[in-house]
Amino acid sequence: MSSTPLNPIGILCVDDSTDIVEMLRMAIGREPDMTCVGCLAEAGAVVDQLENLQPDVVLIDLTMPDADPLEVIREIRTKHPKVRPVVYSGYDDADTIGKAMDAGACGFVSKHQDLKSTLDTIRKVARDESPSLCR
Amino acid sequence: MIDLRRIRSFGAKVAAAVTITTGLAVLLVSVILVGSDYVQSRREAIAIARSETRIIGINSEAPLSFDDAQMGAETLAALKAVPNVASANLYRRDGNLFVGYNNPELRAPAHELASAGVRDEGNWIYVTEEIHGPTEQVGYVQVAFDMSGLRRRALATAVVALVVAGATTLIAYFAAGRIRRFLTKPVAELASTAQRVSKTRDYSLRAAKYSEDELGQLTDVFNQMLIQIERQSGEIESRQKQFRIAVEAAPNAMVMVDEHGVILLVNTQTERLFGYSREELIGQSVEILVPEQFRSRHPDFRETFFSEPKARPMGAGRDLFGRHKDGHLIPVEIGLSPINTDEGVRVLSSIVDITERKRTEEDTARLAAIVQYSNDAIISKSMDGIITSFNPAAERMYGYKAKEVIGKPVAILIPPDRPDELPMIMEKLRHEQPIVNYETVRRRKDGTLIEVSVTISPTRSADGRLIGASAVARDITERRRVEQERQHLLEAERVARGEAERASRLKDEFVATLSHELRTPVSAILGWAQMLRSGNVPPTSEESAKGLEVIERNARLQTRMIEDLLDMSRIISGKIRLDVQSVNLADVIQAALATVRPAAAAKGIRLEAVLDSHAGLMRGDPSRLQQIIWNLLSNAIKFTGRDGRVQVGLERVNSHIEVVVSDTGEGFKPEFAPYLFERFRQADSSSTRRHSGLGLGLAIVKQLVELHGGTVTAHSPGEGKGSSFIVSLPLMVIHPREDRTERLHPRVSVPAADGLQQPSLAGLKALVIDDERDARELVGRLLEQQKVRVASASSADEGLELFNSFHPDVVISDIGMPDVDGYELIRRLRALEVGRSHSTPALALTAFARSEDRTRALLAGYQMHLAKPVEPSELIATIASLAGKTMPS
Repeated sequence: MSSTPLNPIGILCVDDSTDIVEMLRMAIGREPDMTCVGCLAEAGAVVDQLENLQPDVVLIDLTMPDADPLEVIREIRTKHPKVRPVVYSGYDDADTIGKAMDAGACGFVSKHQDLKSTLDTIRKVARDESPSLCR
Repeated sequence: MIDLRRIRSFGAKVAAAVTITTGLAVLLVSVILVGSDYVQSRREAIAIARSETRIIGINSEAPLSFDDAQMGAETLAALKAVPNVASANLYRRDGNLFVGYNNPELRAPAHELASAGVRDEGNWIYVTEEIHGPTEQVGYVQVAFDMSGLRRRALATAVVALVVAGATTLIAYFAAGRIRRFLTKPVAELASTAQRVSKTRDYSLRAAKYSEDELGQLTDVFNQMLIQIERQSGEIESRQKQFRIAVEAAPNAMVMVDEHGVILLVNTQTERLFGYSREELIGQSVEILVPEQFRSRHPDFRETFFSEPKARPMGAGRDLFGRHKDGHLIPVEIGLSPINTDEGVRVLSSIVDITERKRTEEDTARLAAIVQYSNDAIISKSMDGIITSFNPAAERMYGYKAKEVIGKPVAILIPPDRPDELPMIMEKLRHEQPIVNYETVRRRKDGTLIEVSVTISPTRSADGRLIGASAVARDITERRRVEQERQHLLEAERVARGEAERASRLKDEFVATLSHELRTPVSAILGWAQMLRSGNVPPTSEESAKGLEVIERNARLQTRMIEDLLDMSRIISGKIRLDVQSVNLADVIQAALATVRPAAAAKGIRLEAVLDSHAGLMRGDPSRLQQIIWNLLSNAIKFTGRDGRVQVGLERVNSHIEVVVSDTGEGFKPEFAPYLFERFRQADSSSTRRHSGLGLGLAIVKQLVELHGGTVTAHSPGEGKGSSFIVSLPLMVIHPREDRTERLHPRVSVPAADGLQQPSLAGLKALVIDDERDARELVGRLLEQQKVRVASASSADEGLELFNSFHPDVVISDIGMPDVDGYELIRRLRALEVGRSHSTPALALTAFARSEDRTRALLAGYQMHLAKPVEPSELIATIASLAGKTMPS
């Protein structure tokens, strides 16, 4: 086992599908430079948890039953400009990506990408200032 | 002789008169004096001559008597002393010359001896005397005297007299000069004043008065006359001025001409009308104002007028025209008035320009023609709503003749159910608001209604007063029909297009949703599969088991979605087949509840079921029914938040079974209710929608419910207030035949019909009355299998009709029917049978299954009462019993 880097990328996973969240948590847990700081099934809880969980990246689905994730992204950008939201959605049309970027998302990953691409995009977003896209 | 009349000067006349008078008087006196002197002198001279002659005679008596010539001569010689004796002759008694004497200085013409007396021969007189002796006449003496001296003297006197007369005349002439100046000064003053007045027409001048005599009086009278003239002249002038002002002020062109047609006076209106200036017209012939073609005849007309001058219009009955300076013709109307003036009769023409009136008349005529031949109904009415005109189109449109409606209120054309319309229209008109294309309804004479478009405008009198209104109405019934048709078509097209667009949009949204929904489980499957395959997860670990479980569950989820899709496809293409069998819905609901319970538990949602286990027997496809319930429950759980509640109820309502699934979830806006059951439809279909899913669930529910002959409705008090879905499924009318397996089931309490001897109903005539087609057909089919002749009716009325024509042996009727129910039906049926020998047996077959329902049915007139659903064998047995058919032996 390689040693854990000093500052692994802290990721908060937000999706109402527990299957997806579980899978992400497991996949992230296996990456040496990443750590899953938490999983949430409700978008409305995200902003409140940021102070506590201190994520670098929030990976968030766009179809959430309790709150509008785009609003959540806007709030993250306003209140916690250092936290970088990445949208993780099954919808990967230009319109949806545009909306996500307009709201302040720093990256966009289609759910139809394989895990490796998903994790690579998260890395890019965490390290780079420019928005990253992975459709 | 001087002609005094030729003398122009009064003074000269006076002088002449004085002079002539004086001269003549002196002359006359002189002539008289000279004449009388001459006559007197001559008379004296003649007397002297006679005396001298007599003396000669006396002296000569002797010579004669002695015939002594000598002595005679001597006697005669004495005459030498008388100078004017020219000759003297002595004649004997017989007349013979005796002796004579002749004055050598005077030679008198020889003269015969005349009888005694004086013979005057002008310058000569011959005096003859008889000479008498003592006894008898002895002879005669005749002496000729020269009288010319007398004449000469008379002439000299006359000359002196003439000279005196001339001198006197001359003196008189000079004296007259003095008198003249004195006498003629007042007259000259009068004459000069009169002359000045005449010349200047200044009647304010006055003659100076010089005396109080007749001339002074004359001056006074003259001055008085001047005063009067001045006054009268002022009046005349004022009258003339007024006349001119009146003519000038006249609204019409005024032209005054004399009998020769010469223009004497015009006013400004004339200048304006004809384009000539006053100066161009005055003195010209009036014919310049007459069009060329009438000029030649105009003088005749004028002559006719002057022959009998009286006020009258010119050219009565003809169109008159004046000619403008520029040559164009002006329609005019001319009134002629004779005016008597000092100079003679004049005619004053008043000329009215009727161009405008002509135009108005033409317009009016044109308008009248339009109104007459218009296809639109044109009606005039007074301000109190009384019809004043009604054109032929109005007659056609409304069915009234004009004479029927003129004078009647316009309200007769307005349907009685529009009492406010006329007051509204009149009110608008009073406020000068026209009514344009007002679409309304009018009533024809025959009472039929027509749709019209009315335009109503106020009408005014010449002085601008509002006197009524004219309404133009067009029958738009046909147009309205076409419009409506077009509107319907447009609407249909719009709906169809909207529908197509919506369908297309929904399809697009659905494809996006489908893509998302189908891929979502794939994400989990792929993700976990990748992880499991990476070798990092031990195959026997919990993680591995979890991964496999996730993969399996998501695969199933996807399978169900695909099945939903396939179901929908089958429903749309009509390929779905129900595996119909007897189903207890309560069991189906329980099974569905069991399936969704974990999902509800995961969200902390309480699931409640209130099921009437006796209510739910029906025929249907159990798996599809379960799909219906499961979909509704899943939907309720999906849209209900944590710790909410989802309730399912089952009960029998009349002849139906109702399943109600209600929740305390999000609910929906009332306007979304119509779209809830549409496929691919979700209130929020955006990519950021809060709920996943294909949007097929409720659409499938609706289709499946309808395939079972039921209905599904959704209700919500509003967003956030929960919702309830009510599935209404038909109750099974007849208990189905149990299949063999189930018939062997211990639970089956009713023995199989075919296990018993069934009564024969063959040949029986049965009337089946039920408003529900399925129930009617089911009973009918069952009876027909028993060789019963069946007549079916869907209502009580139809049933009563068939009862009379079909004459059934038995009547089987439902109770709960619209309009006339089964109770009323049997009462009427029994009423029909009054007087018949027997009453037709009747069976009430109804979902009203309580004991009181049964009692009520029997009281109403039914012999038997069976509750739905009924066992076929029970039904057959009951009918057989009613019809008096016994069991076959």
